[in-house]
Amino acid sequence: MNHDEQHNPPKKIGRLGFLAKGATTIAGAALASAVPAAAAGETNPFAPRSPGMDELGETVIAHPYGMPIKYEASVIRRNVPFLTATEESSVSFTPLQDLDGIITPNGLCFVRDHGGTPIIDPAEHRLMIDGLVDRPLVFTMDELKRYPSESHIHFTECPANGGMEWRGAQLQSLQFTHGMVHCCEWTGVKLSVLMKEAGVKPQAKWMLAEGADAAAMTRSIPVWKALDDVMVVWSQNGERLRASNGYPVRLIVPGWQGNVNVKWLRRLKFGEEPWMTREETSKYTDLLADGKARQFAWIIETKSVITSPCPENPMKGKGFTEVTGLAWSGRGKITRVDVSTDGGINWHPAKLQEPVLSKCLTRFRFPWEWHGTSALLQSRAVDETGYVQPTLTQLRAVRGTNAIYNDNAIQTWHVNPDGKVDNVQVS
Amino acid sequence: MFKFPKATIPLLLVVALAGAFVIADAQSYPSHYGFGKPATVAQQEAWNDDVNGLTGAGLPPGHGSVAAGQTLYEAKCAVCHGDFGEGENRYPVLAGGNGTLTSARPVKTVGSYWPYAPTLYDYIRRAMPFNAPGSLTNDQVYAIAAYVLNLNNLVPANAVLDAKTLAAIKMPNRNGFINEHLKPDVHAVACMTNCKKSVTITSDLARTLGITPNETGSTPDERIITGSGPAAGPSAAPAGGSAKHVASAPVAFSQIAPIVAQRCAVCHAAHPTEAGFSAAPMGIMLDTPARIAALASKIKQQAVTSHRMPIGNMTGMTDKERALLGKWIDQGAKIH
Repeated sequence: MNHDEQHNPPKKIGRLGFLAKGATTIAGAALASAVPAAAAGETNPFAPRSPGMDELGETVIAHPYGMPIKYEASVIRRNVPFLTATEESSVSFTPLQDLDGIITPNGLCFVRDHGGTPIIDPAEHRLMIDGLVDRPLVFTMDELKRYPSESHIHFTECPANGGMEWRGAQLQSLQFTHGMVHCCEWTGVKLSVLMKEAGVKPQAKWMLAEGADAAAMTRSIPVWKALDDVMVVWSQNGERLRASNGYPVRLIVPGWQGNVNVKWLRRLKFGEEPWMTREETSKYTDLLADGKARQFAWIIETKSVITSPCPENPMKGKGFTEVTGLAWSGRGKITRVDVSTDGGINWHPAKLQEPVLSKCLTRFRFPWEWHGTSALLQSRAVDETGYVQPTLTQLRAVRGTNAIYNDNAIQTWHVNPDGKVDNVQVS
Repeated sequence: MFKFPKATIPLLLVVALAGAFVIADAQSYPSHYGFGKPATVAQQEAWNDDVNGLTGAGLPPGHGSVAAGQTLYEAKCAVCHGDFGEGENRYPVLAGGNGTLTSARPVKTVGSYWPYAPTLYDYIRRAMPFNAPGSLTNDQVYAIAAYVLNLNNLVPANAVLDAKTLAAIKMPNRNGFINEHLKPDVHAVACMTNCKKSVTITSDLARTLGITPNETGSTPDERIITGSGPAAGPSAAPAGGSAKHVASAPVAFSQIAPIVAQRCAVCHAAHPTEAGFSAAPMGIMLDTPARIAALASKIKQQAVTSHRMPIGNMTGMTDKERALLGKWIDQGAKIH
């Protein structure tokens, strides 16, 4: 492949494509006469003229709701069919390998449903607050949106993210090893405001959040967290929630595992004890080597991953390579990310991209000179509480290999001399 | 913005006036809004369907027997159970698994793992059957819960469960959970240089295992749950019909056993031989004739009706082998 072809791949319309197309129009014919001089040479010293410069483009209202251009059609959520028996109680993964910055576009947010995505008419939807309250209340969406709102950017991660990797490196893909996380700006009312409206009784220590889906998803949340930073939201990234992310209203529980951020929220009930629902007993509990299980391990511990290079983003050539990735912690802000190219023998501080926000994805970057040799790339995040992201060996020493959930271990990408990148685990 | 001539009005007065203006115009957030409506008792009763697993609070009136539960289970639950997984790398069998929680292959069932019996009622009523949630009556839910508990030897075959008797059941794994993990359990140190002497790759299967989906790997017909039973029932076969149909020469188990051994049991065994599998995927084992026969309908679903298994056809099951398996299963999956 010569230099020119690299910059003008055949699939794109280059000079010849322009000529063939332009010749069919009067304007094109006029322009064509001016072209041969430039086209005669072996190489074109000028940037090729874009076909878009020769005819009117689409109207401003051609796409009343805009979608990505066709050339980005591969940037989509994907699922792993064999993980689940159905595609309703299942998960689709965010394509982290294709995203920049820290915000996940709404259409690419991973979806973890337990009984499919319900399509709910907001005019018919109600949110009830009852149980141990002085004033049981029921809200329409219009009533709910009259409350003063706040906007906060938070990540949301399913605790099963990485769950396939406890026993060994299995999935050759960043999307499938880490794609059960997204990060959005959420807008809604602080739950504490609604709790005050209903007059939650002092003896209420727990809250049951119930979803309006076919699984009637239910999780117990302690009142201290509900009063702290939990939000009842109706918007993500500036627009109304997507159906698959909880339209018309959902809970956002910053820093806590995804399934407690109940989607399609229909009821909040206050009580003295946790409900011990199926999703917090038989599921979403981490079985340890001794047969006991961690329950209510809600907090997403500090985690990071390099998003490029990765299996989907192989090396593009020797020389300068910007290693970049994401870090997050359910306990607060990321304060540091280190990168290793030798599998964790030596580490180097990466640069954190502003903004660095609490319980939010943080982008990091690390300049690397690749010499075309085998390398083991890792990232390791530290949060403001001082928690250091562990290796898989350290995590396994405490949790065993049966936990399924809450795998926040350091990820290793093996860069091969041919530039391909493999998912591996190291000593 | 109002402008106050600084030359003529003392600074203090400016502050005072500006402050008064802000209070009058923007106001502060009130301590009470009153936008929602009071939930009536009738509304609360209609919405109040939760059952507390710990206490049994919320269990409704009604009752159900193990016998009634068996009939219902076979009609409404058996078609899926076994296949309805949450996708957390395990198979949610409902019964058995006792003593497996510390093994390399834990089987987390109602009997071996669930800590509270009322949770079973709550979940069945709220979410089951998978394709018709909320369709069961309170008596039916009690009956199905009774049958599932009976499958786990937790209630006798003549048991009839109601709110009181269900809440009184002590589940074997009741004390198996450690609650609330607000402090970290793993403590790593951020070493920077010479943190270890050497590094070796301990797992590099991802590249060769062949289970990572690609753009051509997933098709709609791989969806398993249909709730409608076998795709081709007896009525699909014309009487005395085509010679190609299954009603031909019997298939012996001796023809089937090597196919299952080579194509399935390299992973689906108590001790898998396939590299990278330390335990049977989803807990499904096809390493004895009895186990193969018991899981015949599943084999048909996964490897004959769909080609979901073997994953990525990593063991190279042929179409002829799939047809033979289907034929053997349709003939009753006999092992003798």
